[in-house]
Amino acid sequence: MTELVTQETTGEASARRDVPLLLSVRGLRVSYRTPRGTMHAVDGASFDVGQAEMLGLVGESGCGKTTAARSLTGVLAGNARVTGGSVTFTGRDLLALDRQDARAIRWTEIAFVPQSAMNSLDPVYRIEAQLLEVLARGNIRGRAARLRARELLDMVGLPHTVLASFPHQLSGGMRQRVAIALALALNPLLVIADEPVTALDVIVQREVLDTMRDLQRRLHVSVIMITHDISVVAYCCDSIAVMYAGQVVESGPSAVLLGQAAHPYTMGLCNAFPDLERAADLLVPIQGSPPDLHEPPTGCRFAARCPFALERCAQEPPPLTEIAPGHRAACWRSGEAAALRVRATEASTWMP
Amino acid sequence: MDAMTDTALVEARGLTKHFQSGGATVRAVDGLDFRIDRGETVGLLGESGSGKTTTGRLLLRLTPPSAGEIRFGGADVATMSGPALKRFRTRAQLVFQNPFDALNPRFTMRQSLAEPLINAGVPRSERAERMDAVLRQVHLPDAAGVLANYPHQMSGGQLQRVVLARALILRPDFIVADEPVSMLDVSVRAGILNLMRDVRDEMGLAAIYISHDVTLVRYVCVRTLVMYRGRIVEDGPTEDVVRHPRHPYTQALIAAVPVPRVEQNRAAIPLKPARHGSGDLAVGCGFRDRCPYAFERCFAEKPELRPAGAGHLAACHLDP
Repeated sequence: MTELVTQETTGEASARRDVPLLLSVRGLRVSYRTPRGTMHAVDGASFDVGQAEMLGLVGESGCGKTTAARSLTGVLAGNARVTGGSVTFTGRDLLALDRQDARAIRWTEIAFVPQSAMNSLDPVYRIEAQLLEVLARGNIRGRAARLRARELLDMVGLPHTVLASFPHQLSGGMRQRVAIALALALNPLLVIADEPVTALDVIVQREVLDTMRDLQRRLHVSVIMITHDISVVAYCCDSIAVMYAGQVVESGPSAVLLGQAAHPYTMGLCNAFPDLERAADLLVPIQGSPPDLHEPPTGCRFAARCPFALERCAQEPPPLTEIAPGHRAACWRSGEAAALRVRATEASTWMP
Repeated sequence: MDAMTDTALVEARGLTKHFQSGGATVRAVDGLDFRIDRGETVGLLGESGSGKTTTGRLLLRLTPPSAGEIRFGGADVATMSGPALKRFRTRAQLVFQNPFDALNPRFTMRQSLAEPLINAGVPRSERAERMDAVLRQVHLPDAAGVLANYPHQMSGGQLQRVVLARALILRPDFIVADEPVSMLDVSVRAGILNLMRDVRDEMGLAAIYISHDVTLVRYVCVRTLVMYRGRIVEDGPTEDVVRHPRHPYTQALIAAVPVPRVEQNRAAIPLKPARHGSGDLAVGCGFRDRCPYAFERCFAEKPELRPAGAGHLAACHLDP
């Protein structure tokens, strides 16, 4: 059934947008060996990242967003295995690279910003040493490296005194800026940021997001921002891919996705999210919980929670299909999206 | 409620908690004055390190204050002992932050809910009825099914409902909830927030919700206290605090919250970078180093909370 998804989406990839593609993920499948068997964490996920584009990869815990992104750089947990699909990055299939080639791409072409910089920074080395170590991987050494280290701190808005600091001497926001500086050190084409501001306080979060967005535009680097927070994505991403139960269920430009959602899960997520600038209306939860990915359901994975589900939805998985230029959704009823959106705004629709 | 003329259930006066760390004094909580009325739902908003969690622990007498006092129903909490303390422990309850940690993994839901009843000496004959009632209150109608479950058999949202039920089962007058939904997914979180609204409306319970999340506090709380570096910098009706924040810190905080729409034009209020351990906080305003409006007086004199609108207080030397 996942083949269907893959076929539907590959043919039309080029016609979809005016931005040249940097990365194209098709039918990606990653599974984990667990004590209960095989867990299909990513099960036929497809999405694109354009050049100099910031993509928000959105979803709730366990939807596979982090696993999908990690498989791009080949840094998966020991019990994880890529079992299918393709990841095309500047003309190469990343999934076909051997260990050495995959390692060569890390930092130089694809860099990673983790959720908590405390986990990526080495606690016993000063910041300068850590920057120099990454720069050395790109054969930048000596005086050139020291100059570049200072330039990177300027870029992320940190004073040069930080060079002599140990990670624990910095605040959470400063550490996250160091992590961004490390990621940008070798001018990568793509930065994958996994919940880069989730652990930060609101004001610092905003400052770090502004820095990321400014740098992304100035350096024309592409970014995949993995987050559960629709507001963060709305604030800084050009486009969005929504994941549910291991698959991308909807993708498109941010304004289209948040304004004219075509998948009921996206509609439900928007309802459940508070908006500080609007009246504190009733937030509407989505009933139930995501399926167990050890034994995913046959049909649409959202069908059991979907207020609009038809009989067909529980039997046949809907393919991710283009419904407007650059806007794709995996829903049998996406043709009726406008009408469903109206019903989705009514709380009674989502009541059990 | 009862015949008491004073409506205050909880009152903090000069509430202070200082820690010693490496020879320096950390002013975690630095002289708080506030009251929570019976049935009132108050949000305590602040960033990490602002002292909000310590304040919650002080209110429940889980940690002793360095100075100041807390009165609960008119009685001094610090000097309570024996039956009075036991009664306080029944009437004031904590809702844990992380539902995945809050319940004993080896206990069924029935055992977890029975524990507080046993501790409070509720007779065995009443327990089943109390459990059924409280599970209905938290919208878990299938009591028989839920009670037999172990934590790993339940979803995060269901667990958080049981955690809340455990705090409510002794029919307290006051609950302290520290980041009650921060571990939950968005689609589930909305259900728990709605439940908190229902509890507020149906039970007439006083509550303090401690959070860094402006949207959560706004959704559930009638009044909001904003803390910054151990002090309350603003206190007012929630909608007024969100729409017309008076203190420069609150203004920066509200402006920094993103909204889930693309067409947002929320200009950030640029703050000066926070400096670590700058100056002695015993003097002046805690926000002076980052405040875009700070002037001489802010370094010399601690601003006291003063009226800044109807039922609204702010601790700032600028004119409201």
